[in-house]
Amino acid sequence: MATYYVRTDGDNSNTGTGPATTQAWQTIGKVFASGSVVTGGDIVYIAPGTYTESINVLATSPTSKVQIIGNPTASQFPGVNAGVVKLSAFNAAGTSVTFANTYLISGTSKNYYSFSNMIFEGSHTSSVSVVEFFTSRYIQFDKCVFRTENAPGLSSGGQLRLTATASTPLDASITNCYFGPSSVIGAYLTGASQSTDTTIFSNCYFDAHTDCLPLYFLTASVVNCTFVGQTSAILQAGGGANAFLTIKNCLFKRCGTAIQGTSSVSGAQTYNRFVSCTTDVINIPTSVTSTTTGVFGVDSFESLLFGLNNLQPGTSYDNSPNKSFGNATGAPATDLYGVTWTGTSPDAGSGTYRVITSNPTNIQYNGGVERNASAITIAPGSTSQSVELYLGATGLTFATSGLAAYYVRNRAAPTPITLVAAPNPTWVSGGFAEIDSATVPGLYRLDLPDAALNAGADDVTVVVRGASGTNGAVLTIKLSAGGLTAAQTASAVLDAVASIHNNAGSIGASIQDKAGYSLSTPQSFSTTGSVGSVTGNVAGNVTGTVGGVVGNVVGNITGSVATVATPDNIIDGVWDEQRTGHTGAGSFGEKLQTNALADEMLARDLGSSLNAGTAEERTVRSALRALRNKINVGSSQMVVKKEDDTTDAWTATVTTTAVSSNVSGIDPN
Amino acid sequence: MNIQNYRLEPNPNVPGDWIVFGDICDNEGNLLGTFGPDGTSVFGWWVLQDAQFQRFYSNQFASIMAQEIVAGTAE
Repeated sequence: MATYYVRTDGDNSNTGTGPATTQAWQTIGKVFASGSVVTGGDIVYIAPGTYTESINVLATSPTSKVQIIGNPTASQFPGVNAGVVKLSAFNAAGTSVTFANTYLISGTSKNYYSFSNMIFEGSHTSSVSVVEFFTSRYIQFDKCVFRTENAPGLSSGGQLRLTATASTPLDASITNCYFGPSSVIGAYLTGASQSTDTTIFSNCYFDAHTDCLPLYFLTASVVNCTFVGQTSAILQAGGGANAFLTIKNCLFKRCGTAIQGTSSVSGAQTYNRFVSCTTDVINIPTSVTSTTTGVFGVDSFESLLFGLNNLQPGTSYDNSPNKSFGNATGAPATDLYGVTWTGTSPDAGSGTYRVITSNPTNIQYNGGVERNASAITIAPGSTSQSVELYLGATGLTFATSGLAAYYVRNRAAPTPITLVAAPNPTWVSGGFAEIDSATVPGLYRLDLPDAALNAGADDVTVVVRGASGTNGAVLTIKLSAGGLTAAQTASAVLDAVASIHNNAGSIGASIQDKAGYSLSTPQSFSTTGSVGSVTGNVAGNVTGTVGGVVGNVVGNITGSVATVATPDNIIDGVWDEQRTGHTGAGSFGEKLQTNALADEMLARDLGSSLNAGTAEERTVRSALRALRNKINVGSSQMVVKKEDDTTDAWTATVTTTAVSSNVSGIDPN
Repeated sequence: MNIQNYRLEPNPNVPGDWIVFGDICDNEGNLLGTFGPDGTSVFGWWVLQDAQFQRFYSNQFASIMAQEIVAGTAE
């Protein structure tokens, strides 16, 4: 399987195997020319643009599908503007061109060609069809637009003509297509009266024809199609028992004759809505599942006019009678826009109600206007920062021709940013890469140079532009501490978790609730505040030391203290405290002072204490003084001295008798 | 309104004329009327219509006639 590319600025002498100007072909006709290299299984992408060509298919008929895919988004063509892909009888300026042949594309006995995402824009200068494949099989059109211009009053010809080979099914498929107004025929198909023919029209919208769908000698299904303003919508002719039309879930509005069969057994119609038609059905049986009541039920520009949800004229409006009117058997899963049917069953007609934004300005044209993102804030001095920019066009790379980036700090001279490949997710200065062309097409990552965010400027504006297909993007970054670095953000979040966001059940509440916590490794904690209370038990031990209790333990220990690690200290403390801290008059500490008890005993009166301290005292001290201190003994008096042997302590009267030797004194040494 | 058993046959007595056959039914399949056992002649029916009706449909053909005259295909 090979892939080929066509673009208006290509060259048919190229190989066609790449999307660049120097690689791609220039004309669609190259694909169908005699000797074409395109064969079954190949894909041909057509770039946006107008291809004014009349193509006679001379290539050898493929034996399997060849996909001719218009690429309006230009996703396959980097640097090419998005736009429609038209095969046209008009040039880019809109002027009709006279071809030698009047068709846009015509083939005979050419099978398996599949067209999608293209406009076939014909000019009826004679009674031929715009697109025609004769005696061909397996021809497909999906998401194509057929329209004819410049053809007032023409009585024949049409927009699509397909015929089958004798005794061979046509097996054509026309899905999700629009057939614009024409004074003649829409799609004119001729089968070969084959009951196994799988030809189908689904999700097509037919707008104002004289003979819209002439289906001759053909077995075919027409499902979920909308017919508006047709003189004859579906007209069956010929085929007998081997031509059978199945018409289902269709919507007919103001048609002369909606469905006309060849006989009462030539087809079946069910779940159709006929609105304001002159004649609904001729020959084909009626059905109780079909109806003629109600209104058209299709958006007639009102959602765009009024800014409502559904922004697609031609589809069912909200709560339309078309909603869920159809039957799912044999019906497509989505409408012509690929939107899943809004109701439980398919709508009648080709378009379902679509819930999208009510603001029409949100409809963006791919590759359109400049995108000026709202200003963002980053902390000055931040490093390794990346931003997202919407450029519209897809497929851009750092190397795309013309693409350039600059930053401007405080309206100074622009500084170029050298774009390089961005190795996701690693930041690299100037890194540039599309984020995901499938899910967020046109969105790119740019890794800002650190210098762009240096402190010293209030703001920096980043501009990326210059590539074909986009008008660029502008992003202004406010340099402010309000824009937090990752570390600042983490700090702020963690600080706030427990202090602010601590409702019941929150992480913050869990952090504050210490119940059930234990520490498996040694930790150093300091509590500078107070511990309010411990209402439960402290079941474990403090095996280390407690620094001290500076205040008082004002409560009681009502239980026992299991162990005290150093009891001697407590005993010493008790005794020492008694002698040093509790020495008030009359206290036990006072008695324990040095010599206090001895002095008190020495001063104790032998009988009473009335004369203690006087010369008349009869204390232990005074008694002992006579034994140890100086005593002067006279003839009539004895004087006992105090410990200085000078001061009189007490005296006693001496009575003498005649003796040989008198004691005159005792003076201890 | 629906037409069952519909067919067109050339009028053997009037060249260019056609005779319409069929049963006219409502959407529930109830027979409302027919074009008659011998059918209805288009030309015969046409001349019975009032002038305003004929003028309206003739006007529809005018542009087609003009196109064919210019193209040289008109007789």
